[in-house]
Amino acid sequence: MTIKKPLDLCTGIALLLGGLFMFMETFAIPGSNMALGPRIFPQVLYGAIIVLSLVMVGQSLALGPAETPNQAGPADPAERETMWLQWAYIAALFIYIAIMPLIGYGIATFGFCFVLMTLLGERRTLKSLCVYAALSGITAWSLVYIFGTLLRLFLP
Amino acid sequence: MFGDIGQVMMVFSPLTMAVMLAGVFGGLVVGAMPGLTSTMAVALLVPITYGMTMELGLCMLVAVYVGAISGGLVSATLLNIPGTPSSVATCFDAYPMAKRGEAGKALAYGVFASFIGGIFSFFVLLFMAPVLGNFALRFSSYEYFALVVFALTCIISVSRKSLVKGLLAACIGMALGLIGLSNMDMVSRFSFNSPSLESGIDVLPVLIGMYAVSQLMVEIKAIRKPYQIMEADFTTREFIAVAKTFRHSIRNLVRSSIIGTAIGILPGVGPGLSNIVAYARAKSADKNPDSYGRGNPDGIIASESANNASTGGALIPLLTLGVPGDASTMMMIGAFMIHGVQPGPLLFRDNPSVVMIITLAFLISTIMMLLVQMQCIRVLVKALSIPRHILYSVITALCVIGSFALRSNMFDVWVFFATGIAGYIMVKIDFPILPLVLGLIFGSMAETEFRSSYVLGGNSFSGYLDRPIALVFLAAAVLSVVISAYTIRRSKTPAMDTQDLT
Repeated sequence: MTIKKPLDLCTGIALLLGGLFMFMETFAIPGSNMALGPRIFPQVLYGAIIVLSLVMVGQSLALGPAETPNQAGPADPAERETMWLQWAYIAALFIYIAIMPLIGYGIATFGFCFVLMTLLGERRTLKSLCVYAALSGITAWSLVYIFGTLLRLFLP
Repeated sequence: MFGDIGQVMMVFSPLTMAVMLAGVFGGLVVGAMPGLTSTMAVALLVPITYGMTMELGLCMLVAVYVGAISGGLVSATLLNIPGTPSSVATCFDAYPMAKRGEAGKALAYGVFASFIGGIFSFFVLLFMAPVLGNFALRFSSYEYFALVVFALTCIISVSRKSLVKGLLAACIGMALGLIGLSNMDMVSRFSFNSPSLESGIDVLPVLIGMYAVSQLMVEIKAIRKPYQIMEADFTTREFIAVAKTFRHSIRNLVRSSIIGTAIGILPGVGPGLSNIVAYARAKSADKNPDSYGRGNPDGIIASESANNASTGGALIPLLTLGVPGDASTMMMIGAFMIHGVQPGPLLFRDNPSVVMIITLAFLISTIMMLLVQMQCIRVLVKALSIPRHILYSVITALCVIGSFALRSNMFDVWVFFATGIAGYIMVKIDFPILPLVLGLIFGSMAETEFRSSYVLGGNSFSGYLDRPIALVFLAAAVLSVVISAYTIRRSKTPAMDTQDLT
């Protein structure tokens, strides 16, 4: 038996384990006098997830010799750079959300926009940094005005 | 039938017209830019409707939706990249026309075809929606549960990525919808003693995360590849000259509009599929099919009339059954929910004016779309030059505040972040997103109707046997799954993807 689709296998196993865990959790739901109770529908759903995950695991395996996989070549520098950019985007977004309640929405948004524009942009000259700073300021101010003042939303 | 005329007439007020004009223009700009979809545009604007009246907010969203679907024509013609999935087939003939110096003509064909397709579906919406809405008033728990099952299986069947993955996505979405207090018993489920989870997972942050952030992460991968933009412009005289040639393409226009409207009505399908189906049909019906793909205007006419016809079609199940016709109309459910209104048959009974307002807004937006494109096509072309690194930063900041806005809750922002990453992973491992999100929206309702139908049947499901409409929906659901499984098994070539086309 060989692994035809390793990603699907990993996903199937993860969903299977998650489904089993959540299925066990359904027994902790208190019952009620209402029809079928609050436990039944979740049990049906998680039961379906478990069964479908098993099917997915099965489909990701194959009997017989393995097919010759399409070997991807080594990542070229351009691809490595864009992968780095994706990670940088996630990291910047995480930090932005984490510090927003601490330093306030406006300042956090300004910082996030400026950092992200600098990271994603190709040019990092003084002129372009000034442009990014100006645009970040306008973005932050506009969002604070629209949501904080016009829509009267309580901002972090 | 039309509700309060005075309330309906607000759609013609200066404020509403100005908002719709801005919405159409904004939608066209978003739709013109590759990677920014109509779904994303609507998702980002839904939180802003919080500060508006429901009618004004919905008018704006309809305008953005109409504009964004049509805007994809610009990048399809000038970049050979569809601005939205609804313009994939437009690329096939619009770009070859642009390469031989007829970009302006190609754009003119697309704009006029979009207008005709939109007007066609407006009339279908106007006459069909009240009939279907009144019919759906007879629905009870049996029909509603069966309808949800049918809608989910329809979406799964059409996506054709993998039936198992589609079903898994739908089940996971419904399971997420059950977190928090149950509707019927007010019993806490899966909250793990967390007050945030006790109040459940809100739909809007998940929608924004799954459709906006995941898409942005895909686009960031291509951010270093510059666009090569063709020059294009057309004058009003040229546009009218092109419009006059449409009499030779009447059959194609009508057929594609019918295809677009019909596909738009199917839950979860929408313009992403209709443009391809209409194009394929036009090509096979043409006397000279080999001319398609080489700059045949009929290819553009088929694609663009179908995708705009789908927008009106997609509004029909949203308004009459409460089931979204596509991902963008699914976002509009968020706007309804913000204002505490449930789209569906009860909307016709309790708020008929809202239905009429949306219908008229669709008509006005379609007309505005034509006029704006005729006058401002140069501006839309310029929009393609907006630096993406600036655009993506601003959009992300808007996503964050949009996720926060509904409940003023940082938990929602973290949900947005987590689902954004989850959405990207789903794209990478070929999991369809739409069934998951639809499952999240309808999970709680599906359980309520499921349990209610059990009670109504005297603590059994035998009541379904006396409800032919429910049985038809359930049979259609089973049939769609079976056909999909059979088709996927027989298929030798990779199925066409209707989501996340990059």
